[in-house]
This record gives sequence, C-alpha cells and structure tokens, in this order.
Amino acid sequence: MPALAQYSLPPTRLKDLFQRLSQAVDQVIAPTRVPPGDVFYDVVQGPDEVALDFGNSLVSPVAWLYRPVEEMFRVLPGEPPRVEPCGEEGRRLLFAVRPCDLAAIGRLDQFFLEGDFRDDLYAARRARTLLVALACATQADPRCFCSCCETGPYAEQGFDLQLSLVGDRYLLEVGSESGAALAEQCRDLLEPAAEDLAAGRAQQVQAFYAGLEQKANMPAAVRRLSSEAVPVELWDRIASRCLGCGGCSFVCPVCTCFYTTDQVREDGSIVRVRAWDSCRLEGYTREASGHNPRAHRRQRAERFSYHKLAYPCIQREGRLGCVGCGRCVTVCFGGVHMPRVAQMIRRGE
Amino acid sequence: MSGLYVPQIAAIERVEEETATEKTFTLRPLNGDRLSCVPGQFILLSVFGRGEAPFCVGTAGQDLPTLDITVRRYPGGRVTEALHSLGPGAYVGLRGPFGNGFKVEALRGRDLLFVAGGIGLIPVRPLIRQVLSERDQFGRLVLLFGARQPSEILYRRELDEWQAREDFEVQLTIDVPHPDWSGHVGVVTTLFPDLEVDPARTKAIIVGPPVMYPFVVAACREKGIGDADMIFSLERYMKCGVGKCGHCAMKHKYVCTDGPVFTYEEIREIEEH
Amino acid sequence: MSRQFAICPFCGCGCGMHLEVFDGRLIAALPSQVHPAGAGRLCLRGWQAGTLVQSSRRLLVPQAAGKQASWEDALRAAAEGIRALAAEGPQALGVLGSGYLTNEEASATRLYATQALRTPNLDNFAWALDGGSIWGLEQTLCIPYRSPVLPEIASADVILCLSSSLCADNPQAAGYIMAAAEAGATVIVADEVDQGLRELSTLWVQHKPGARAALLQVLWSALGAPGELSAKQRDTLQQAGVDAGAFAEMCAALRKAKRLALVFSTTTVQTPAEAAHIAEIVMLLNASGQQEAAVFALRAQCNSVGVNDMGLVPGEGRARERGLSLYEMLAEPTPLRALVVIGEGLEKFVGEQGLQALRERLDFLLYLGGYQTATSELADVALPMTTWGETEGTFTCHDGSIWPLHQVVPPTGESRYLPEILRDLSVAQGGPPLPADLPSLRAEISRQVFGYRLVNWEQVAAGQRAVASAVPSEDSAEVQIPADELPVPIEAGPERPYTLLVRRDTGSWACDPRARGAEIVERELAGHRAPFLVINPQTCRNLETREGRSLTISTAFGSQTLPVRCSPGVPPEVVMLPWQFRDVARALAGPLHLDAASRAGYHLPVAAALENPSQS
Ligand SMILES: Cc1cc2nc3c(=O)[nH]c(=O)nc-3n(C[C@H](O)[C@H](O)[C@H](O)COP(=O)(O)OP(=O)(O)OC[C@H]3O[C@@H](n4cnc5c(N)ncnc54)[C@H](O)[C@@H]3O)c2cc1C
Ligand code: SF4
Ligand code: SF4
Ligand code: SF4
Ligand code: FES
Repeated sequence: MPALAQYSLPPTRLKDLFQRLSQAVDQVIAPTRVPPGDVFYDVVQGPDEVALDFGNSLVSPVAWLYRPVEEMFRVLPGEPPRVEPCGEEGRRLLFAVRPCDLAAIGRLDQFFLEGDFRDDLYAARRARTLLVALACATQADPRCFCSCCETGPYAEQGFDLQLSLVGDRYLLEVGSESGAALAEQCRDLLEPAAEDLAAGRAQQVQAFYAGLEQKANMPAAVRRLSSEAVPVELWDRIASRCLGCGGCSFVCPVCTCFYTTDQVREDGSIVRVRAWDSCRLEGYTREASGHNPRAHRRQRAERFSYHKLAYPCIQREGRLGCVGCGRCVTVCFGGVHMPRVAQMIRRGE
Repeated sequence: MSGLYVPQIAAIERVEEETATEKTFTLRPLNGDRLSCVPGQFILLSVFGRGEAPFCVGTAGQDLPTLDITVRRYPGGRVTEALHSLGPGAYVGLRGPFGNGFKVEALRGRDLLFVAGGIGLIPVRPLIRQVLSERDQFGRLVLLFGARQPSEILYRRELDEWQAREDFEVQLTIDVPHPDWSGHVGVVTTLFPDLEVDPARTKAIIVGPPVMYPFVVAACREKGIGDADMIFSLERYMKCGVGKCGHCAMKHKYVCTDGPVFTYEEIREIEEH
Repeated sequence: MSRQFAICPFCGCGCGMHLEVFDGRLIAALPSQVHPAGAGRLCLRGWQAGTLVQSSRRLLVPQAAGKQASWEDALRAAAEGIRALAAEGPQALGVLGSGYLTNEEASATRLYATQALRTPNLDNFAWALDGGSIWGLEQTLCIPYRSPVLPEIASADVILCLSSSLCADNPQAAGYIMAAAEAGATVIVADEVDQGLRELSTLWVQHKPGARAALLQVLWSALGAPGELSAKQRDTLQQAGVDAGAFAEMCAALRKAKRLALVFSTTTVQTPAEAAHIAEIVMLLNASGQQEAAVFALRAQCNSVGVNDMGLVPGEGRARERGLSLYEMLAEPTPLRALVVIGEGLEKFVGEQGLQALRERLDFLLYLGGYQTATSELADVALPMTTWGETEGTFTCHDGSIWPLHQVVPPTGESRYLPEILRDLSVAQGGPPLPADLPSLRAEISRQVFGYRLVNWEQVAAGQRAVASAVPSEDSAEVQIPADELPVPIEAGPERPYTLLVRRDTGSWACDPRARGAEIVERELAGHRAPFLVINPQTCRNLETREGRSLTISTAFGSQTLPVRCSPGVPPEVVMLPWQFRDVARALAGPLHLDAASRAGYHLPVAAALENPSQS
C-alpha cells in the first residue's frame, strides 16, 4: 500500500512534532535510555527523554500491546462470586517503532483478532494505540536481518505515521486515516515532500541492504523445513546448545504463547493473569498425568522453528513467524538463534 | 459481561462419586444460560484461586440447563484436587463448550467400534448415548473398554445397561488379574483377535491414554480399518481453549480449536517425532 | 509503569536486569544488554525473577512460638530469648547470613553480631558453598581472589572447564564457553560425571569421583616438566581413572594455549587442594610470559563476594581461630545455645531432619527472612524481612563490580528492612542502636572495608560502574594446603561395587523456596522435589528396572530405597545423589567432611551397593 501522503520535516522541528503528537493521546511510549544505558520503550514525558540513536531495543515495543504479564479478570468472592473485567484505559501512541516490530504487530493483529476467536485483551489495547514508525535505513543493528524477511528498513504498511531520516530531512509518511488526522494537527510544522526525498528513500534501501551484516536465506529454509527434509540430528544439534532459558520466545515480537495463573490478592480478590510462556520449556506441554508429548529438547527445538518457518503455519497465520529483528541473536546462550538455525536448516547440517 | 477468557459463574448442583479417583459434577450456569454441546466437546472449568482446566462435557444436546463433567483427581493437580473437595452449592467458573466434537453425521449408517481406555470413556459416553438414542441410524455397535483394575471402571451402572442390550456388544477388560474380576484380562488390544469387523463399514472411535494409541492403531490397521476411519479425541495441555495460548499446538493445528477430535489420517500429518 | 535496574538474585553470575513495575506490582524481569555479565541474556530463573516477590511462600507476619505475633511482641520474644542465653557468654551465640543479602544488609548483620551479640561466631551461607575452592585459590595465589568478567571466557582459545553442570549452575558462563567454542576455541571438559557440557566440548576427560585433585596435580606437574610422564604420574592417573590418551591431548592443548580460561563452579570444585592446583597451573602458564591464563571460579550465590567483603566471616578474618564457621556451628553436638539465621533456611545445609535435630540441640532459634522455610517453621521467633525488589542496596559481582538494587515495590505483608529489624532487636536486648539507614551503613562500609573506601555510592545507585578493589586478607599464607592430595580412597569393592557421589544436579534450585513462587520455574522443576538417584541407563538395565522405579542403595552409613532417573553422563559404576536432598545425603554419605583450613564442608564419594527391591 503506498503512503497516503508524504511530508518533509526539518530535524529541528522533530521535538515540536513529538509534542504535537503527544497532545493527541494520553500517553506516549517511546524509546528511552534507562540506567545503566539500556534502551526500552517506556512512557516518556517529553521529547528530551526520547532516544533515537539505537539499533533496536532488546524488548520489543510489542510488549505494550501484548504485555509480559497482564490481568485477565478479577473475581470478587461472595455468594455467588462476581467476575469483573480488567483493563487499562486511555489512548496511547507508540513512537519510533521499528519496521520489523510493525510487521510483528501485523502478524499479532491477524493472530489475535482474526478467525473464530478474538482476543479482547489485545483488541482493546490495539484499538486505542497509534503507531508512529521510525525507519531504519540509516542505522541497522548488526544483528538485524529484516531484508531477509521483507520487513524493513521501511515499513510499507501497518503504521499510522512513519518517520525516516533521508539526507538532512525527515520524511513523514502517512499510512492510515488516523495518521492523516494526526498529520493534519501538525500541518504547520510540515512541508510538502520534494521529489528527491522519495528518490533518496529508494537509494537508502539499496545501501542498507548492502550494509547488513546478518543474513538468512529464509525462503530456502522455509522450503526445506516444509518439505520435511530436515534430518532429526539437526534438531539434536540445536537442542544441545539450548539451555532452555525461554529467552528467544520472550524477546521475539512474533511469539504469542502464554500461561495463566490465579493470584490471590491482599484484599481477597482473585485475579487471573496471563504471562508470556515459551515452547522451549519442558513443562510447557507436560500434562497432569506426567505424560509429556514434547519431553525432549529436540522436539522443542523443532517446534519453535516449525511454528515460525513451516509453510502450513505461515499460511495459517498470515506471514512468516520471524520478522528479522535479531533479538534472539542477543539472548541465545548457545548461538542457536533464528538466522543461525535458518542457515542450518537450509544446509541440512 | 463478556470476554474471551472470562468465565461465567456456575453452581455445582450434584456430585457423584464414580470411582475412588473420579467424580461426576453437574454444573448449572447461574444466569440461567442454556448450553448446547456436541459429544466430544470440552469446557474450561475454573476453580477460582487455583486455575482453569479442560474437561469433556458428558452431556450432549441443545439448550441444556445443566451439564456434567467427570473429573479424575491428580494428586497435586491444582484444579482437579480443589474441584474434588467441592460439594453441591459451590461456585465454579465455566467457559465453552469449545472444540469440534465428534461429527455424528459422518458416522450414520456405519458400524461403530468404540475403543476406550480408562478415562477415555468420558468423552465417548455422550457419543454412545446419542448413538443409542438414534439406534436405527447406525449399523453394528461394539465397545471395547479397558481399565487397569475393576475399581477403576467408570460408569458401572450405565455399562451394565449397555451390556444388557441386544443391539450393543460391550466387552470389558482389565489390565492385570484381580480377585474381584472374572472377566477378560489383558490390555484392550487383547480383545481384538476375537473381533470380527467389516472394515469397509466400520468407523473406530478411539480414546485413551497416550500409550494406548499406537497399539490400537496397529490392531485396527490389521483389521483393515483405514486411517481416515479411525477417530481420536486428543488431550494436550491447554491454557485457553481458543487457539491463543499455544500450548495445545501440534504442527499447524491447535487441538483446542481444530480438535480435539481428529481422524488418524489427520494426526499422522501433525505427529511430532 | 516504572523500570529499575537490578542484579539477578539467583546464581553467582550476577546478570543485570530491569524490573518492570505496573500498577504497583512487579511484573517482569527483563535482561540488560549493557550489563557485562549477561549482555542481554538471562537464564530461565532470571527471566522469571519478576514473579519472586509475589511468591506464595513469603513470610508475611512475625511468628513467635509458632503463632502469629505483633512486631512488638515478636521483637520482645526474640530479645528475651537471646538475652537469656547471652549470659552464657558470646561463644554460645551464632549468626549465619545468606549470600543473598545485599552489602548493606550483610554489613548490618556483622554489626549486629559483633556489637550487639559480641560473638565471633559469624559466617555466611555463600562461603559454606564457595569457601573450599576460593580459599584454595587465595592461599595459593597469595591474593584475594576476584574473577575476571565472564565475557572474557569467550575470548579464550583454550578452555578447561571442571564443572560439566555449568549449563544449570552458572548458565551465563556456559554461554560464553559455547561462544568461545563457536569461535574455534578448544573446550576441554573434565569431570566425574557429565551433566550436559560434554556434548559441547572438543575433549572430554573423565576421572573417578574424588580424583579431581589428583588429576590436576599430575596436570600441573606435567605442564611444568614436559616430556614423558613418570611412572608415579602414570600410576596416579590410572588410579584417578583418567584415560592416558585424553590426558596427553589435554596437556598438548594447554601447552599450546595463548589465552587459557580455567572455569569451574564452586559447587563442583569444593576442596582447597583442587583449587590450589588450578591456581598453580595458572601461575605456571602465566610465568612463561608466552601464555595468559585466568581462573573463573563461579560462585554459588548472587552476593557471594559482597557478603564476604562485608566481613560476614568468623572472628575477624577467616584464619583467626576464634569464631566458628557455619559447619562448626551446625555440628553435632553444637557448641551453641542460640542461633540467628538470616535470609535463608538452614535446611539447605542440614536437610529437614537434620534441622529438626539441630533445633532440639539449640535453646533458641531466631530466623529473619523473606520466605517461609522449614527453618522459619521451627524457629522460636521468625521475623519477616523485605527481599530483593523491596529494598535499596548493592551487590558485589564476581569481578568486584558493585551494582545497585532498587526498591520497586512496597514491602510485602508486614516485612521490614533487615537493618532496621536488627537495630530494634539490638536496642531491645539492651545493645547499641546500630546504624540502619543506607547512608550510615554505607559510611560504615567505607570505613570498615578497605576495598570499598573509594566507592562513590551515589554513582553506584545511579547505575554507574564502580569496582571495589579486592579486600586484602591479613592472614594469607598461614595455612598449608596439601599439595599432592591423592584420590580419596573409595572402598568400592565386590560388596559395594558402586560409588555414590553427592553433587548438584540441574534441579538444585528446586529446593529454593523463592523458586516455588514462580509458576514456570516450578513447572520446570516439578520432577526434582522428592529425592531420587541418577544412574547410567546401562546400570538401570543391568538391575532390570526402569526410570521412575525404585532401587535400594546401601553404604557403610545406611540404606534407602529411592526412585531412579537415568542419565548417560553418569558412568555405569557411579550413582549420583542430588545435593539438595541433604537428609538422604547424610544418611548415605555420612556427615560432611569439614576441611580444616577453609572450614568448608563437602561429602566424599563413598562405596555403595544397589539392589532392585522387586527382585529380592
Ligand atoms: C480436551 C481435553 C479434555 C479433557 N477431559 C477430561 C475429562 O473429561 N476428565 C478428566 O478427568 N480430565 C480431562 N482432561 C484432562 C484434564 O484437563 C487434566 O487432568 C487437568 O487439566 C489437570 O489439571 P490440574 O490443575 O488438576 O493439574 P495440574 O498439573 O495442576 O495442571 C495445571 C494445568 O495444566 C494443564 N493440564 C494438565 N494436564 C493436562 C492435560 N492432560 N490436558 C490438558 N491440559 C492439562 C491445565 O491447563 C491445568 O490448568 C482433559 C484434557 C483435555 C485437553
Ligand atoms: S525469531 Fe528472532 S529474529 Fe525472528 S522475529 Fe523472533 S526474535 Fe526476531
Ligand atoms: S534463547 Fe537459545 S538457549 Fe534460550 S531457549 Fe532459546 S534457543 Fe534455547
Ligand atoms: S545466569 Fe544466574 S544471574 Fe544470570 S539470570 Fe540465570 S540465575 Fe540469574
Ligand atoms: S488451548 Fe490455548 S491454543 Fe489451544
């Protein structure tokens, strides 16, 4: 989908733009540096708290739509007990979301919102969240491989607004009706985008592709895995390097698994919460009887890759289960992260 | 109030002890809601403060004011232990029914071979009941049921009634000899050699513990029953019942929404090494 | 929503993390990429640390005489109990603190022991785990030991790892070993049993249980004097059960190493003699000027280094004979009348039955901790203290760097900050009003602890890197470490053909009461709660049993019938008993062997017979 409109913004007005966007919502979530120096997407109070000089955060801003832990409902004891919904209110703007994360949100939208069952917890949060993307063309993280997953360095859809630094100006693209309304409120800060901005954008993409360090031939891995031509020993090899931390699932912006648990609160009410879970963990499939259909690490290693890469899953869930964000490259103890595993699968070794 | 994960409140109306470890609970939704269930579907039952767990619905039909579940207690099992300690009048949470259930239409006109092990009889019972209520729609009916010990045989009274019927061949077996048992001894597949089936007419409905499946599949294949004519109800660890939590996934299928009832042909494709 | 930096409260790797608080509740722990220990990685425990504080096992209100009590009553009962016994003299009292305490809490604990109780009987749990090997290193290197930062493991070209269980014990270190292997390093794993690291190694060197010291001694002497091994060396190796070819390969690799990392966990390498040989090997290689070698001794608890720096040690320095160490305090018969246990349950060291017995020997047991444990249940008085996430403080990591912990949530239940409790307790006993706020405690640390004099606490709290220089110990070189300790004699023979080895296993933190609050951790460790034996699958077949069934094991000390699990990493003649089942360990392997020099304790391998009860 081509952008609905394009504008140009001098970098000196970026803070003004940010202020203006903030006024449209109750809360802005933007990348910010917290001691001792990590970048997180957090609630920020003003543009000075925003950090834009980073590759990508280790925790995806997707965590603001699908929370690490969230309350599902509350039960007030009584005869009979009463059930109350849980949820936060207010409109939010996610600022400077990387294109890979935007693609992940696209997949989450499909997974949580489409089909027979609609996840109302996700839906409620999603409906009141505006997305302002920040393209990556000028600052690839050495771990990223979005080019291999066709998710970056620019988002082509899924954003309300997208910012990108092209030469000495910001290009602002409008991707939705809400985005257009936002841009309208900032009209006085914006200038029409000159032809050369669009040309500059295209050039940057080429340069960006050439500069990426991490590579993964995802289509080849998908073909190989889907044709079931992967030797079992390969999963054993991956499994031997997996320490079962679950980190790859926890940081992955595409992963959606959760467990639920009941918490008894100080006031006697009971809150059911859901929290991120991981198919890499042994207890994930163990049943009350003790039987565990995926008792072996090898099976779990295969499960993770299959769900992300196999054709039937892609077909069912709308897109590849990896957006090339490179986060698992950082968290994996054994170096059996997605780009590496994709390569192993492709080569069958 | 609605919400995908928000249960409705139901009261336990009756509790019946089936065996030392299994009880049947009759649940009545508080707001007078009526439920419709197909045999083989399941609900998610909450014991508030303990958690939620899936159980097959033992009652099938339209607009039911109550429904039954039969629950095995696992020592240390959070939900099952807590549920077993509850009596009539206690409140629980209820979501569902979920899952595809057995496609009764596809069974009409066929001979049916039910093979159940242990608590595998739970989901099969509502199907048998429905089939018996429309007995003339089906061909020959056989039930092979195995339990570990006589004391672990569920639904004794109903089994007796079924055994007494002319139009239903019911065979029971227990795994190892027991002083209180004069019937057949051996795992459920040991009932197969003496069994005559017409493979072209037969559909086998197979539910039991995981260890049972490979043996029963082999025995059915030997009788010439096709993979598409073997029907299973699978159990997987479940947290949501609606295809979101991921726990029950097998390859690209979700047991909770695509199942729990699958033909063996379908399972073969999604089986994991 | 707020976010604060913290150090993971579990193992000694000291990974940095950020705690996320939402609606006043701690909801998640997320890795810190800039922190050197983890560089963005956390193990399962770390990832789940966010669920700890809300654990259902928290101790919420004070308990006195087995009943809930008000703070006032409980403090009074505690003070009276202790004052009554203090009359017997300071030697009748003892204080034990956990390695999970912050520096400030540890400092307050020392002040309480030395100024309110005036007892030299003071020790920490971390030293009880790490002590043997750290002592051995320090005595041999003649300097206080600090580990290099863990990421340096990844830059080694040869790694000799003496703990195959690192994947579970110190996962971060295992990660760096894998990274080094990936980059082409030679990874040698030498151990009694394989607990997972073998499959990632280039060379696997197996030795008999208890023969590590012998192997290392021969290795050291062989590296020092190249050429053929002497007959005596060959003999020793053979006794140690080491394959000569593998040994030669190991020597060759070590000789060629440019950067050698010697890595071990203090829960595997437990004796001073073993550690001394490791230190000797490192010194030998470094002396050549051609090679660089470093020891990475991985500690057992998150503030192992800090609590020792803070002086939570017997007397005034470990070698002084005046104070009792942890194991001496717990010994039978105990010389103590009253014991104060802070931060962790004692059952970890003595088992629940052992604890019962100890309780009967003591006149008064006071527990201060954040969680319900067997110790809190048996204590005369149990006082709830705030835990990680509820307190401000600092940890000192294995490399000496000091990191802040912040309070992110209010105290759970009626729990209070430990230094404040100790101050009130001291006053109630008629002692001095001890410092209880952060500034005074930190001033106290800066004054008392040499290596912390230059620490700028404000900068530490703001997340800036600060390093405490190693604290010199005044007593180095006082103690001789036997240089050539030979394999511990194991009386395995026709009657008892197996060797029982008490060791940590992957589920060793199943016994940590904190882990029990964390749903996923609990789920992962579900099978590690009740005692079991680990045997080789072949042994299992030979005894005609299978996993989950029970075997009867008997030793000179006693016999037990326990379910078995199989692991191909355990040699056929070895039976492994997980360390956490202390009661079983005591029943089968006898009392702990207490090392005279380090005063750390460990179980020696013992001969055992196995029998299938269903066959007899
Ligand atoms: C579709 C389906 C139908 C079922 N029908 C019945 C039935 O009719 N009668 C009966 O007695 N049991 C049935 N079970 C098994 C039953 O769900 C488990 O025994 C129960 O979840 C154990 O819960 P617990 O909390 O006591 O145990 P815990 O071990 O404490 O279980 C914790 C959680 O694990 C999950 N879990 C554990 N075991 C299973 C399992 N086997 N299958 C799915 N989830 C599991 C649950 O979500 C539960 O909340 C069924 C399972 C499935 C999937
Ligand atoms: S698999 Fe790895 S690279 Fe792909 S989206 Fe997930 S975290 Fe990012
Ligand atoms: S991040 Fe790596 S070590 Fe951790 S679970 Fe994933 S694959 Fe295993
Ligand atoms: S390796 Fe140790 S410090 Fe790091 S997350 Fe795991 S338990 Fe915590
Ligand atoms: S039970 Fe949650 S996806 Fe099936």
